[in-house]
Amino acid sequence: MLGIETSCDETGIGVVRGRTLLSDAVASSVDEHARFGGVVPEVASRAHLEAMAPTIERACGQAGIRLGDLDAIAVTAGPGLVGSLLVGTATAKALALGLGIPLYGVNHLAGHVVVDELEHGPLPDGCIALLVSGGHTSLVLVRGQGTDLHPLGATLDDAAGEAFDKVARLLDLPFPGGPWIDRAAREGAADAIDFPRGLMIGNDAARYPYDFSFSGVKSAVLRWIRKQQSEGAAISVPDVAASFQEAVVDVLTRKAIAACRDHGIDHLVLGGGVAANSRLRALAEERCAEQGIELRIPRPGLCTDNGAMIAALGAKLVSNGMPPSGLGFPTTSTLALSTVVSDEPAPSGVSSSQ
Amino acid sequence: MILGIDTSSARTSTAVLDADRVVAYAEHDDPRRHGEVLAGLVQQVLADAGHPSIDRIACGVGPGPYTGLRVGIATAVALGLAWQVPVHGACSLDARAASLASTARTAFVLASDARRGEVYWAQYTADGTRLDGPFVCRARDIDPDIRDWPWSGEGAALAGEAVAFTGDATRPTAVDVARLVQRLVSQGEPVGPVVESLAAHGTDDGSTAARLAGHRLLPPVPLYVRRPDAMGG
Ligand SMILES: [Zn+2]
Repeated sequence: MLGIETSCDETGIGVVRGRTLLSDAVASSVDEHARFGGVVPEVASRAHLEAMAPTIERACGQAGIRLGDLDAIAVTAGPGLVGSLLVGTATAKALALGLGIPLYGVNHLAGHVVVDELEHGPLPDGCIALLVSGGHTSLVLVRGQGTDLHPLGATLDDAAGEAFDKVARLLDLPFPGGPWIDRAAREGAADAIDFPRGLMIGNDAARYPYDFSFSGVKSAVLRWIRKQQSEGAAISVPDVAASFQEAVVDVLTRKAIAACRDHGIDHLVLGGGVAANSRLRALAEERCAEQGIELRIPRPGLCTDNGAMIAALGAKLVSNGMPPSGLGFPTTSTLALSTVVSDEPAPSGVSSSQ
Repeated sequence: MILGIDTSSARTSTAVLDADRVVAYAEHDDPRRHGEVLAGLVQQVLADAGHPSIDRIACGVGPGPYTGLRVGIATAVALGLAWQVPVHGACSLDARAASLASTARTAFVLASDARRGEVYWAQYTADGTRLDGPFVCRARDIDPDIRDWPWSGEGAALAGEAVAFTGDATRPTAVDVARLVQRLVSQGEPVGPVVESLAAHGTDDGSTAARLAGHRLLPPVPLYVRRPDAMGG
């Protein structure tokens, strides 16, 4: 199974056989976006098209296979940047057609869950997934070993990774901000500044038990920095980074554990680029251990967007006997979590002649 | 047999040609559905042509709105990988101009729809050789001497009174592209430069045209004539 992932700025191509990872090649355009301080969709789409053929060849080379050896192809159909997704889906459709093999247009978020099986074996029938990156922040109830997803909550404003990027910019740290905040925070005190936790108390917590809001903490960091500056006081980047990071990961882990408890589930899966954050991993481990919850986190390279996660999901769908998507499925920036495999709309308005 | 693909306009089209003869053709008009329909159209022309063995792929590389253009090029490149056959690009305006040249009596301008009130355009001799372009701008910003040339193509129709429209508003098709590539390959034309990479992207200051001068057979890479931070088409 070849997996193709192009939902954001990473061109990911992975090859798996069942639950065995054979190769995982990624080309990133992150450096191209750095000077804009965020992902520029047109830049990402250009980079995907340039990187596509070489990355496919690299993935096949590392796996020791030829394209003709493939049994099926899976590709991210959404959610994501539509111009980027289209480069991947057009490529996948053409490969499937050219090789005469089935094609699965799949949900990116389900890939973040199922990828953990490549490292830690089969998922239990019920688990909670916390998927956090620059593009998504979702709490998901997962049934059917990763093929049946029910959204519990999501961010109401910024994605978690976006909040890291924005605070990094306030602290003059480079883009993408996550790894830099993580590094700076190791030298700082997490309790130095008491930044707010969004949707954690009172009516908000009752109304949005599994949703997130990070715009408040981001604004609080900005206000705090301005205040220090106006008073001529020193700003400790490590302390700000550590305190901000603590506010975010505290909310993420508390809500994830509440979701497990409320649903009587004892497995939590972390995925997405922010799951590479060392403090999130440490705090999730500590709190899961206290609650008797088994925590599953793929290694950092499989948490960020990659083709292996899409291949892993495709392989799972095949083994579950799911029908393939066909060649006409749409590419959807807002693909719903409940749609794990895209289906085909009836083509209309085609005219042909011989 | 050659497979042609063009997605440089709102039309998604694909064709199978045996030398100059069209064996099968299919098209779909919708500016937003290239990605949904193209693979199905290719499947259809292959079936209509009796599942021939394809030994070359020709792809229109624009200029055109970028999202659709990338769908066509990504498809052509991936089919080339799957079948292990060469994939050639051609400027979609050049391909249409070559087809129009059989009826043209004078030099002409060919234009397509660049959206946002702009047109992609290039100047051609009566035999379809590109003199200058492609460029992107609003039709009324073009030098009046050039606006007085006979203008053809969808972009000319959209430019209204700004140009001397010939009444021919046709869009480039996969047949135009396949025929041009076929002819250039048989003439032994070398493949022109990779016009754009991410580092040296096109601008609308004429640098794309300058680098394209004299080259008609191109790698399967979009003709970007706008900077990425100026937004895609
Ligand atoms: Zn992701």
